[in-house]
Amino acid sequence: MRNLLLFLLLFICNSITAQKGASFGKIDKAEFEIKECEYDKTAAAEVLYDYGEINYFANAISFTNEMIVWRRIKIYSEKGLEEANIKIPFPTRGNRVTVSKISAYTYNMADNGEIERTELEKNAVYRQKVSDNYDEMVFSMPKVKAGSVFEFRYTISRRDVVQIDPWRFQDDIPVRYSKYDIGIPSVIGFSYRFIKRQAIDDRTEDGIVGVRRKVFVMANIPGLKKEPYMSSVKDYYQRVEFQITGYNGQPFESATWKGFSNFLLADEDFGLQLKKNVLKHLPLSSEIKSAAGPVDKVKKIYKYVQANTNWNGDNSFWCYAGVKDAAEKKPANSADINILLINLLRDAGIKAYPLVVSTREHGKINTGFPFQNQFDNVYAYVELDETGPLVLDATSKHTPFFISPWDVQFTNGFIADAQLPQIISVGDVTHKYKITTVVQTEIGSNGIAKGVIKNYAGEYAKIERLAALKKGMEDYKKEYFTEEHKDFTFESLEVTNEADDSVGLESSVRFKTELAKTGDYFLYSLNLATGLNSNPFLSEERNTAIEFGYLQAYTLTGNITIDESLVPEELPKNIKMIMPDSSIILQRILQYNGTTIAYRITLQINKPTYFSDEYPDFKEFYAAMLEQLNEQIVLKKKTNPRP
Amino acid sequence: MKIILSAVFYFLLLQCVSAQTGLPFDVHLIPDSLRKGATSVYRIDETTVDVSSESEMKFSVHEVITIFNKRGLDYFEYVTISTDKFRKLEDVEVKLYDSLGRERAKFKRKDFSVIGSPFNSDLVSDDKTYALKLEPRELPCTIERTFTIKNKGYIDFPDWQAASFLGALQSSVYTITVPQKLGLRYQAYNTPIKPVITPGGDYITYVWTTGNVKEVDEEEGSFSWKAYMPMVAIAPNQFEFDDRKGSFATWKDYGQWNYDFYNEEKPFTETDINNIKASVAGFKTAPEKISFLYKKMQKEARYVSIQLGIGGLKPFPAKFVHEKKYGDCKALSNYMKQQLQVIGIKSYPAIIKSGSNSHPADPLFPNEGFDHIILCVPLEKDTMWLECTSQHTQPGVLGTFTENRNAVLITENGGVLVNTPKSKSTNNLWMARTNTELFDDGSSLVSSRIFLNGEFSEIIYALTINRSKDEIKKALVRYFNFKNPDEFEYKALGDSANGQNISITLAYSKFYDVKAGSKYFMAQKGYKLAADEIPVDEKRKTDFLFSFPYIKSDSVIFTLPKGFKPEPLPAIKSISNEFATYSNTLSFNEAAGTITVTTHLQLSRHMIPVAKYNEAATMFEQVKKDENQKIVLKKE
Repeated sequence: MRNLLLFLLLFICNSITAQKGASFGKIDKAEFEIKECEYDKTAAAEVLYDYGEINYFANAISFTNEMIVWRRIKIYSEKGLEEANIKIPFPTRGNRVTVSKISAYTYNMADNGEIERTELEKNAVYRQKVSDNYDEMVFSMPKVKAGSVFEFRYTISRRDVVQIDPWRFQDDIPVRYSKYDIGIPSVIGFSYRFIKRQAIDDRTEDGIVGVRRKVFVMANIPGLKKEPYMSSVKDYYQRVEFQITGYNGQPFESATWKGFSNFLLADEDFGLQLKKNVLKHLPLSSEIKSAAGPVDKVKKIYKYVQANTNWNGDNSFWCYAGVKDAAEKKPANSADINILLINLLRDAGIKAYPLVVSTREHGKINTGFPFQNQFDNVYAYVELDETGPLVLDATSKHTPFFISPWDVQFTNGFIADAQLPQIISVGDVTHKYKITTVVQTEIGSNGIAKGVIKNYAGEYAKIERLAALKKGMEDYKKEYFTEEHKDFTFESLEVTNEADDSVGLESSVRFKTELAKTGDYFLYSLNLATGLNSNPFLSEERNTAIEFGYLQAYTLTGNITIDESLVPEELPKNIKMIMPDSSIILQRILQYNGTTIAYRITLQINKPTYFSDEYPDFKEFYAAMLEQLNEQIVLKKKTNPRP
Repeated sequence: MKIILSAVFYFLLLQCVSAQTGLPFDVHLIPDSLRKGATSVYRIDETTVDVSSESEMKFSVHEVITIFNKRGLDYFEYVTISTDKFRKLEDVEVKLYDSLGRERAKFKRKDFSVIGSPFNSDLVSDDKTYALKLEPRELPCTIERTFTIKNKGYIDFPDWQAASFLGALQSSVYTITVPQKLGLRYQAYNTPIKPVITPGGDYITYVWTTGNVKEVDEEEGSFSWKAYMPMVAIAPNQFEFDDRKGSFATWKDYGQWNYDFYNEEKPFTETDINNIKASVAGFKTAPEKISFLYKKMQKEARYVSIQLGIGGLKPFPAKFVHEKKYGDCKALSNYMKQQLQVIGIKSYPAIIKSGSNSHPADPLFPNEGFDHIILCVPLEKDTMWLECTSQHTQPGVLGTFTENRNAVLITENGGVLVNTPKSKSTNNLWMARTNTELFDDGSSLVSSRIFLNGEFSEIIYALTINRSKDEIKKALVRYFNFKNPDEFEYKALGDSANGQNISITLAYSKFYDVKAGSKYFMAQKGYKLAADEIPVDEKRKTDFLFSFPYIKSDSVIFTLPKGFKPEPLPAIKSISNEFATYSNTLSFNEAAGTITVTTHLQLSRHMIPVAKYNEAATMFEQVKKDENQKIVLKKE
């Protein structure tokens, strides 16, 4: 660190106000009068300029990373007004960070046709506590209404910080012009990566001697909207991210995948935890000895760790309490628990490695460069000849050892290993989201239908339902039966096979309902207890991929015994529907033998992900498929035969 | 043999020991009658209030709670204690016990995080919350919480709740000690429990006690708990807050104490005064002037909540809102009041408890329990009420947020408790006319014009304003429960008198629900009028409240394709009782080839007394059944 300081010079701030003719505190009439955002027409507000500038300053004992932020926002309608409440959070620990030079203006059209400027008063800026480690500067812009433009600027200074902040070009509201201008001392090596779907202007500019000056510009970026079954919002914000790679020409070891692996393995909060001897203190040795082979060993150890640790709800790939505390059931984070798992598996002679992952919520990783902050968790990667590779997360209480955790399905992870560090893809397609429903129905002459539903939720569906079951039987009944079929009454619900990993969760329930009646007709729907009643894909367009995270298989079979006074008018047809790319198949077969209708419906969705360009086909097929699933059986009262 | 026997005995003994420890918080000591079906059990629930003067009060809590399930854990795993400029946390200790009552963890103040105001929507506030997350290894577990808060200044005393939705009460004790000369007032609701009163020198002590109270099930659609849960409200005669002495003996006194907050000597400059006067000069009547200024404020100023110090009770001055064009409910109401004053119209800020179906304050027992301010403008003929935080409600309309209750008007003569307007079905109209053109390939074009006002207008406003076409489609298809259309178009046709007209056009490639042979089954209309959830429940214990009363009237004309005729149409239906009326008529005009469906549903009263609940529920069930009847078309 001392060496680094010697090379840091005092840099002159390269004022951002010189860019693109705009200047802080002044606005053109033309710019003020913009009526709508042309590239995102329904936007309630738009960021006109978003500027960030970073410079490093050094003095005799320390250096400071200073970032100037300037934002100018146009409000188009009332809903955009919330943008005018500004919060700037900053860490308070060690007093290293200060937010200063806050200055802001609102612009409105005055009655005389001139632009009127209102300055934010200094005493209207508040500092308030957010948490133990964070405070925030808060202010609300004066005189903001639909049509106003406002802008604010502040400086955030950080002592002893080398980290280069990522920059988001995109926001929830559209951004017209976004520029990130950073001056980094040449002695600090860094690399960067883009997450982008639009063009970025990436320039290297002349800086002062000893400074590498980079400028990134992006323009006309639509607001990011949230959509059902999208993975992580973080995946989609268009942005640039940085990692420090070296100093004074010497690359940091962690700047390569191998280096990253060594860096992890040498750390007290990661690799060294793998070497601690915890097994001897645990009542597990005899269980391992009694195991009937490697698979059984893995199962026993995984179950033991699942049941005998106390997860505090935090996810990290850095240990917090350490494996010893985790083994003693003290509150532990995911790294403590999963590294404990790997540690014990290794003691039992199993090939197990730490797999550093980025869960679906956290966003996808760039496999090109080991950016550390793109990971958020560590799981166990186990090589077993009998089963093939397994991915285990012992904090997931309901996932059996042979199924890959849902939150890393179809993502890439990194195996930290001294010999063979590598990126691997997680993708379990042998296990699916499986729902099998068997229904026995009797329909009486009065149109009362009653019967029994037996529902089996297998594999990923079982994991999901076990979590719901934990909330209590009433909530479970509501979520999977009552909510979807409001005209039904459900009684004597029983749920079995909770603990047995090898079979589906069985729910058995009695139902009763009065069928919708029209004249002499009764209508009965076959789509019962499948979870497929409503269509989440109603949007005309979609910008993000649909990520289910698993393949799906539904089977619905049943018998309907009909009172002799009723007769089906005409049965729904036997059909087979196949999506053009063959990834979805729906099949329906019905038979009527004079008293009973027997039916079997199967649905398979054989792709875990549909990209946004596949959306139009997917949407159309999905709607047609639900239409078929919801098709009703029409029963008619028999006309009395003549004597 | 003896050895074996003693081994067995020893084993049994061990079993006993591990099943029950005899420690005071062992869960096995809870009577089954309390435990059965309970979320949790308050083993000990002690509140102790020590009032030393008009401005000083200490408030201590000691609770021991056994948690049985996830619902209980969701509620109790976070220990949070709120403090602010007037309330300081003196000491705190939390302990966690396992099911056998063995202490597993202990926490002190240093273990808590201190966070800003996490549970409200304030932009700025000086509230600080001490927060601690407990991580029990297993359920059931027991937590013990002990803390003391010192109040410098108070307005009201804590109330006592003699039953809970979250747990059974094994034992609950509330103790309050006040100086003899100050005394206190109390009022019991839904309970006969009386305090034990012990005078002792300069002080007097009141103690309320109960025990073995089962957990209460909360029913959907009820009044707030205050209407039916056993509780005792406890309030001071005199108090002092922020160095201002006040009295709570009457509502008049309480209004008096608040009056100065809204009394400004010179809120505006001469120029401002002239501008305000000039702006309304063109209007003749007071309601027109009020409406103009109200709508102007709606357009210019926005709601921002800033609560610092006494700011929780005292508004920012009118000048602040005038210059910055934002403020909270108090500041915006005060700004409106001061402007009306300029043009010679008197108005009164009204202190109120907000929220849908909140229970009114007790006229005979003044105490705190409010969270909102609105403005009341008494006029010669009628009274105009203004909700100053809304940017789109009509002048004079309050809505479910503040209707059907009472509010304390702050007048120069002190507080006056008055009723806010009752919800009226005629204020919430939904009137739709729909043309449905059917084609012989099963496709259809549906175009509706709908007039909405009151709460319906608010709902549509929230679902459509500033949203993309796609979002509007999704929101409206969901709200009206339309069959999912292939094409959807929404248009706001503009506001008419006190409401808005909208048009919705839907196109379907397949409109009917089922086709059986040559017969097509289709719904009578694109949505259902009876959308409220009110299931029959023989065990219902409390009154039921709809969100608001309404009138919905709807007519649909189907134009049939050539060669199609209906099978006999569902019969005319008409049901009515004291709460609602429903009628539905279907008719076929053979010459024109049209079917007309005319439906009317009026909910006249939004509160259903519990005795009539099932009557109302049965009626709505019948209405739903009738609406579900299909039209059957036959191709000839």
